[in-house]
Amino acid sequence: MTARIVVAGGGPAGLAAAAVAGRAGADVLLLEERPEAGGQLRYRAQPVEFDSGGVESPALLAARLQAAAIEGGAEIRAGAVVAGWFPGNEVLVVEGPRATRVAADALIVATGSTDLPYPFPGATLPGVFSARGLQVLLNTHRVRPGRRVAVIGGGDEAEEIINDAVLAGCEIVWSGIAPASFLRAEGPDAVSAIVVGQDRHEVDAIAIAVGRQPDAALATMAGTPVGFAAELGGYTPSLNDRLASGIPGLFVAGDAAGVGSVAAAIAEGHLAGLGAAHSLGLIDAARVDEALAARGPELRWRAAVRSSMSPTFAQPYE
Amino acid sequence: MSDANRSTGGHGAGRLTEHPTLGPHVNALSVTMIFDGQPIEACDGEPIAAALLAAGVRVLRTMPRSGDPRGGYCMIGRCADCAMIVDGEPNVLTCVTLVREGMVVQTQHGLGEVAWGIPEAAK
Repeated sequence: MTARIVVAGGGPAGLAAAAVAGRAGADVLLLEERPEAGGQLRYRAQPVEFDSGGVESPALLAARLQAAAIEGGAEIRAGAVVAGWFPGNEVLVVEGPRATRVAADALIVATGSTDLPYPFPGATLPGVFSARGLQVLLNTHRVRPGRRVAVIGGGDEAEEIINDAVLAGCEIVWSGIAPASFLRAEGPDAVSAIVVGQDRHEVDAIAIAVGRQPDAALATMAGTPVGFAAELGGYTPSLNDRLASGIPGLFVAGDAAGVGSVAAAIAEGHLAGLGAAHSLGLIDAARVDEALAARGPELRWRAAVRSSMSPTFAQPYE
Repeated sequence: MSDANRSTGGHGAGRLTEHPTLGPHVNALSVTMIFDGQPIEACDGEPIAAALLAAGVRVLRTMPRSGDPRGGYCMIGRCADCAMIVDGEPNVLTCVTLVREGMVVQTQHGLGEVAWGIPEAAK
């Protein structure tokens, strides 16, 4: 019986893991909740940068990663939500109205990240979106929900959504970061203005771009200890160098293991795929050691941050 | 409901048929759904919420008790701000539910008309 590796999440980390695990001889099933795999690469418009200096369009990179996964022998099931975990790395998969349990000898959690919220008066009004939500509307659905946009946030995520909104023909009326007590979105039924301190700006949409946090609920549900690392986006699963979680056969890679770059997600997917294959006896330890030695600065930094987190809580789900 | 809904021109909602880096959007307006009794054109296979927002609709649901409006937030099927009544079924996440010809979509007020055994005080 061939060893079965299940990959939860079909973004850059999951696709990279699936390709490697498949090539190592595992029977790989990749489960992706969206209608097609690619994850963040399906809604981001700006080119992805690599340490080598290369850049690639997100759409082309998604296609290339998906082709590699399929060529490696992985089965990709889209429209499949991994909704739960049972001991022994059995996962609950929800597809439409159906829920089934899928057994796995090893599980790679590559479920990415979610946008951080930023509560302020009026933030729930129609027309206020997470940065990612506005990106999905503009870049995937090609829908502009409004023309005059305010962007709350000051980092890379804010810069990216500002660029995307401008390319979509929006006008950036205001952008920046202010304490929530200084902000107010006004309606009445949908957002028409944002008040920042004493200044009032008319807007049609607001994007909240204050950062992302790991979405590792599947790993946490399985009992993976969690630490807090602001540099990685907040609550982050505690993993060893090989991205193993301490739950036998459960590995975490990509944004779910700490918010970072696309290049890091791909490299960690690669490493987790090797780790999972090795844990099932499909490849030698030397292959994993080789990948560890070849890690670049971002992966080493991520591992160092994760190793120095204090555990926050235990999950006694027995 | 105020004029905030449907005013495509007023708040600049619309479709991005051309884009400087993503290229042309080739999906045609080939299906019609009914929203609160009015026909709305949509692209086959796009999420209901995207079609509504493109058409200038801003309020998708109102919350139980407060009646506060919601009009979509995460667009990835996590926050439920886009939950609407679709073909009679409430709490359908319209940002990840695709349009089909003839779909009947309604603004969901509160928990929707089907609310099994929920005490009045909780509605």
